[in-house]
Order: sequence, then C-alpha cells, then structure tokens
Amino acid sequence: MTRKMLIVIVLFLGSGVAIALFIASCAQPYYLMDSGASTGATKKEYLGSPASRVGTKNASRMHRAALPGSMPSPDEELWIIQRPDEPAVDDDAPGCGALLAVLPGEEKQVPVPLKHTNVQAQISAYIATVDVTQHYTNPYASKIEAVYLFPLPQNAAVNEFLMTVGDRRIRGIIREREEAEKIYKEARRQGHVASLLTQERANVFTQKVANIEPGKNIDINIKYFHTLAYKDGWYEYVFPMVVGPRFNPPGSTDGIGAVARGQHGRSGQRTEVQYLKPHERSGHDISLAVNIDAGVKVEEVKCTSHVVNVKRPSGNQTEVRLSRNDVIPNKDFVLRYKVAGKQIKTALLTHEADQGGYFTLMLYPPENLRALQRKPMEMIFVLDCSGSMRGHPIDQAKTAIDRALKHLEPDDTFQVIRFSNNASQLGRTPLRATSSNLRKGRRYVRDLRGSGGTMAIEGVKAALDFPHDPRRLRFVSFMTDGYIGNEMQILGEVHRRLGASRIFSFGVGSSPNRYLLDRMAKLGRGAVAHLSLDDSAAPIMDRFFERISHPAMTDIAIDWGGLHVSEVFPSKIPDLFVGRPVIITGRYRGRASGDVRITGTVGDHARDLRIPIDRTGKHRALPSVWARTKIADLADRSTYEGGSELPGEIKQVALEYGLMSQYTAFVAVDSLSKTAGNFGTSVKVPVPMPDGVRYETTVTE
Amino acid sequence: MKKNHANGLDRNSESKDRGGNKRCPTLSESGGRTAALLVTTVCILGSVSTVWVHAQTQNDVDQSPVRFAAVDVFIDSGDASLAAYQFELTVKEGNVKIVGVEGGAHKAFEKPPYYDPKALHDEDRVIIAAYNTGDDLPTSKTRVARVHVQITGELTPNYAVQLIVAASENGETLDATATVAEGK
Repeated sequence: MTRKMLIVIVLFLGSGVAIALFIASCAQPYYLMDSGASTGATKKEYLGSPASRVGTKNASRMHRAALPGSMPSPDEELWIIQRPDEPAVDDDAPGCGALLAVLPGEEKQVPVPLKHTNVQAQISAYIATVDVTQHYTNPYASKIEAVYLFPLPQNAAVNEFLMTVGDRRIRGIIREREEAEKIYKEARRQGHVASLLTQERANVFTQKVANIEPGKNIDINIKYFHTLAYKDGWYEYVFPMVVGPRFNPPGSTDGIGAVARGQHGRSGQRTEVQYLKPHERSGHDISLAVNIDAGVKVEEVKCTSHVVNVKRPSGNQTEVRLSRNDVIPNKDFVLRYKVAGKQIKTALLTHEADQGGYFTLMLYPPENLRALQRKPMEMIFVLDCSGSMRGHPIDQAKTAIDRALKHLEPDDTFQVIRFSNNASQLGRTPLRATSSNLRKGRRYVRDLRGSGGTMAIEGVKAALDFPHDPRRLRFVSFMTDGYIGNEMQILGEVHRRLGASRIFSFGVGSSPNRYLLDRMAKLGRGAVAHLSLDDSAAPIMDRFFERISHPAMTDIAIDWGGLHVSEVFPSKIPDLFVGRPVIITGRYRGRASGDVRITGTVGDHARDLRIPIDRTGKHRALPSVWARTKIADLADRSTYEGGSELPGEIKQVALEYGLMSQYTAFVAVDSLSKTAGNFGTSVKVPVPMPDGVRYETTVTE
Repeated sequence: MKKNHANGLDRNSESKDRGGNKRCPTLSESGGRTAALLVTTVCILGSVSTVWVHAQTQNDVDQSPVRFAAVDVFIDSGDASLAAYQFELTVKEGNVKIVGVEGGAHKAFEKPPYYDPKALHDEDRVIIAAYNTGDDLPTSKTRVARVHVQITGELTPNYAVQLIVAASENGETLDATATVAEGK
C-alpha cells in the first residue's frame, strides 16, 4: 500500500469520525440519568440519541463526562450501548421510595406523580369558563420530571397557565412551541422548577413539570373557555378525563401510541399514553364542580356518566358536584341540562375590546321545519369493528343500528359497512328497505364482532366512494369510538370524497375521540351525537331520525343589521337541522341597530328568523372563543388544502391572543429556586383504560 | 490486476505496467486518479468544515451561556393607596426572554398579573397590569410584580420600566414612580 493510499484512508477515517462527532453534537445532548422509569433498573447510564446510548466505562467519571454536549476525554473508553430489543418494564418507577401495601384481592396501588385533578366550571349563557388544577407530587426518593398526557374539550380555548411552587404562583408565557421547548429543557437542565404545556391534538395535551424534589408538590392551573353544544333541547357540558387508546396505521410515527405502564417507546409513535393494567389503580383522583347560571330557570339536570349531587341556590342557578364515590378519571363527564321555555331565546352575544368587537350567535332552526315531510333517503351505516369497540361499545352501536333500521320506509335504501383492518359491507349496492332486506341487515349487524385494527380510512372510502342515487338524500352514519391516531388523514379523505353525502357521526363509548367525530360531522355538513355506555341507544336513534326526517333550512344568509362584521366562522353557514343549532362567531365594528335577520329556504319556501342583539352583556371570553374558532378553521383547511402559510397563520393568531395551539406552548420557569443535581427521571403518568374498553385488545405489551 | 471500481484505482501501484516498467497513466487511470484526488479533497474539506462547524457550535454554546433570573418591579405611590397599575417593561440591552410572571409582595397584588401577549410577541416588550378592588391596598414603595427571564450571553441586561398608569381605589390617577431591581 502506498503512502498516498494510506493518506486517503486516514482522511476517510478522519472525516468519518468528524462527521460522527458533528452528528453527535447536533443530536439531543445526553445526560446522566437515573433510568429507573425507562428500564426498570436503578443503575446509572447515559441516554443518547434514540438509536444508541453512549457512555463511559469509568463510572467515577460519569458525572464529568455527562455534561451536555461534552464528549469523553481521550483517555476514556467509549462504549456504544444498543437500546435493548425489549424495553424493560418498570414495576413501580424511579427511586422506588413509595411504600404501598396491597391486601390479597385488592387492586394494586401504583404510585404516580399526579395526585389529584380539580375542575371548576362556570357556565354563563352557553359559554363555559373552566379552571383545571393538577396537583403534582413526588412520591419517590429521587427527583423527577412528571409527564402527563391528558384530554381537554376539542374546542377549548386555553389561555391561562399558572404554576404554583409552595406559596408562589408564576404565570406561564405563551411562546412558539419550539422556543418554549428549548426554554423548558434549559431550565430543566439547570435544575429550575419549570413546566411546559404543549398540544398534541386539538383535544390532547402534554404537561411536563421538571425538577420535582422528593415529597414536594407543584400545582399547575389551566384555564380555558368553550361554547357548549346544544342538542335536541339539551345543553351539554363535557369534561373528558382520559385519552382513549388510539390505533395507528402501519408505518405512521406521529400518532398517539397506547402502551403498558412503564413501557415507553414500544408503540413507535411520537406521543404515547401509558395505561394501567386492569387490576392496577393509581392514586390519581378527580373532583369536579359545575355552576350553571343560565339566565333562566334550569328545568332539568341529567348526568348519565357519573354520580352527582345537585343544588339549586337560586332560581336561575344550579350547582352540580361530582360525588365523592365516583372519582376515578376513566370516562368523560357529561352533564346535560334543559332550561325553561318551549323555545330557547338567545340573543347575539357581544364583547367590545381594545382591538374591536366580538360576537357569537347560536342560530336555532325554526320550529316550522317539523311540519314538512321528508324525502326518501339512502342510509349508510358504518360500524367500527376494531378491538377497542369489543364488548359493550359495539353492542351499543349494534342496538342503535337495529333501532335505526326500524325507522326506514320502503322507499329508502340502506347499506351496512364494517371496518377494522379492512372494510366489507352487507350488499354490493344499497338495498331497498323491504322487510326481507331489513331482516338480512339485522342478521348481518348481529353477527359483527370487534377485533383488529382501526383502518377507518377503509370505512371512509367504502362509505363515500360509490355512486350517489340522486333521488334520495344520502346520510352516512359513522359509529366509532374514534380511537385513531391519523385524524388528519381521515379528515382530508372525508373532505375529498364527500360529494353529496352528509355525515352524522356517533361517538360510541365512555371517552370517544370527540375531536375527530366533531370535525367529521362538520366537514360532512351533518351533526355529531354521542352514545355512551350508559345511554339508551333507542331514544338517541329516534332523535337522529327526527332530525334527518325533516328537511334542513338551506341557503342561509344573515343581515347583520348595521354591524360591520368580518372574519365570521364558519365562513359558509351550514344547513340547519331540527334540534341542532349552529354557533357562529366573528368580529365587528360599529354599533348594531335593531335585530339580526336570518333568511333561508326550507323545501321550496323562504323562511326568516329575527334575533335580538344583546348589547348589555360583557362577555369577556368572546375574543378567545373567536380566536380558537379561527384556529380550528385554519387547522381544518390545512387537512385538505395543505397550504404552507396556514401553520404561520395559526401561530400568529395563537400568539396574539395568548392561546394554545399545535404551534404554540405555555412555559413557566421559577428562576429563583434551583434544585441540586441533574433533573432526574422522567415519569409518565399512567392512566386507567377508559371505562368499557378492553386493555388486552388495545394496548401494546 | 483487479480494479477497484469504487474509485477507479488499480490495487497495485498504478504507474507500473505488467513488466514493472514505468509508464504514463491511461485515460481511465488518469480519470481514476482525478477522482481519487477529488474524493480526497472533499474528505479534507469535509473534515475541516465539519470540525470548524462543530467548533463553531461549541463556541456558540460556550460564548452564549444561558441563565435564569428575576426582575422585580416596584411602584411607589407615596401616601396614596395603590389599587391599579399598568407598566411596560423593555430590555434596552441584552438578550432576554420572559419565561414567567409572578405577583407582588403585598397581598393586594400577590396574584400573578396579566400580560399583553400581543405586545410581547409583536414588539419584544411586556405590558403588565393588575387591579384590586379591596380595602387592603399598599402605599409607598411596593413590589407589584416579579418577571422571570432567561438571559443569553455574558452581557448584563439593562431594563427600563415605564409606568403607564397607577390609580387609586376611586379610579383617580396617582403620581407614582416605577423602578426595577434584580429579584432575589
């Protein structure tokens, strides 16, 4: 070998090492950590890039070598330690300082860093202001970072974030997500108590709290606003308590994975939820209170999801409190109430701020829609038969379809499509609703079982792709828990393939993915309904048919009566169905005079409605509600337009109004308190499986 | 003679023929050498630039230490009771990011005050305001807020505070002053 060649080889090797060094420096710095949570061991090791772990053999030098961005000194031996194929399971987490006794036959108590969640909601008109306080604690013997993935309503405008350390409270700052994450990581590295709130989906958030010392408590308070749904005569307030286990199509990495407690990294997804096993119970519980100030008498209050105590301190006020016997956060809290009067009289609500006026309007369909006869319909039932629906959820959905089939008339047609790993259907084309076909349909539905994945995209294609019968109105009824990680893809397909169909989505189960179901219905020009495990399926289906059996009010136009309105959402007013109002929100200039006038068409007849303007109310939540609606509109557009400017617009609105979004985050740092040593172990808060969902069919072990 | 197709070089010394006599390189051999030189140059440049970039990255980190600190904002309303205030805090010198806002020392202003997110992100300043309608209000110099910041670089930041308004419980504007000091 010549000297030249030797030089070439040396240079090759040199450049390779240099490139490796550079890549290592660009990757996330590696820290010395107590890896108890991730591996089940208590030994010290270095965590490096996802692909490998780098450490030094000399344990005495570990701390020195572990400084972020540093490399082992030349006299140190470099070890490359591969990530184990099977991540070890931590049986109780880091430091293992928690002392718990379990008696035979009792559930196993699992120590978690989230002790309690307290929810205080105040409802005024149809806007809820909600304060959520999460009490974090460190039950272990060493310092930790707590990480908690939790749900909020899909239309929540999160605009306040407070961190309480001892008796000091620090207001978090809204920043671009990447910037907030950098600040948080640096504060965490330096030992400061810090917290970070990020949004993974419109209804799924991650809370991180760094440097919680053993035995110490830190509270996080989140405040948000949202409008209530009004369905078939009832207002509905929902507080989701747990994120359901999502199915992620093969090859996806940005979904939300479902893994067993302590087995992080198993799902291959960017975001993961760790679930407690069926016999396990964490100490995390919840308290919840809702104060309703409806302005008129509340006639009836109903909560089918939980046991509640109801008090009525005055005629227009009602207090609802979650019973102390029902404090496990494993299902959505759903409260429905009815106010006095046959027809709701809601004015257009306004608020004037420095930057102009904001309004919101709940637009009710006219009563006289009920008098008109329905047209023949083409009913497509799409049933999610995946593993998460197995058991009670799928039974509920089957009962609902069975009931719906009874409502069909001979001139209608119907189809039943099932999907899990793939999709199949009752008939090649929709069947006429004859007695024999209906019997055939019932048998088909009765024999369906839940198992396998949730390839909802196959269900969407099967339901929307076949030719439309122009003589009939086509309604597609999706029945699913919505435990799907690729929501954006589904919504994009719905928009592309919708055609003449209208989508009515039914959220099945105790904690459905309300974001997906709500957006499918909105994109599908229909409505959403929920079928919880405690609901009776028959009346819900009866109401559904009541809604679709009458023509909607279409071609809606609004005369704003002198208000100069702008940026109104939704930009195109959807059709109005019986029992389902539409909420419209926007900005305005000037002063309104008279009423707002709504015109539209029902069948061949023109109709109009007049709505008074409430100028007396100071509805401070309206700027945030408007901004949140605009963000949702932009996010919807990004699913089917894919414009590169849309994320920037979302970020701009979110920063201007101090709101959470996919591109913004809240960060809070206590600069005055600094804990000793590195930031310790990251502990993900494991959550219970949603009520009625089977652990063994949904969780990666 | 086996060719190394990867770089066009002969495995043996490329400048000798089968008889071991020196000869001029053929066109293909010449191309192989050019390619080898090119690869070598790229490697050298790659190594140098990689090391340089790595060093720069390290330098950036080293030259820009990050620390967290607090800035206390005081308002002196003299003998008058302070019921409401609004001030603007700007950074005249230094690389500073606000990472939290805490309340003041007096009970009337112990809740973390609100900030204007638009001002913070549009113009790199923070406007903070609070009010209290109670009877127990502070007089003279009182800390009304503590702003937590992240400071990048060696430079000690220079802050400026402008009191936009201070008001009494009757809504009257007060003749007051605002000052800042390092929080401890």
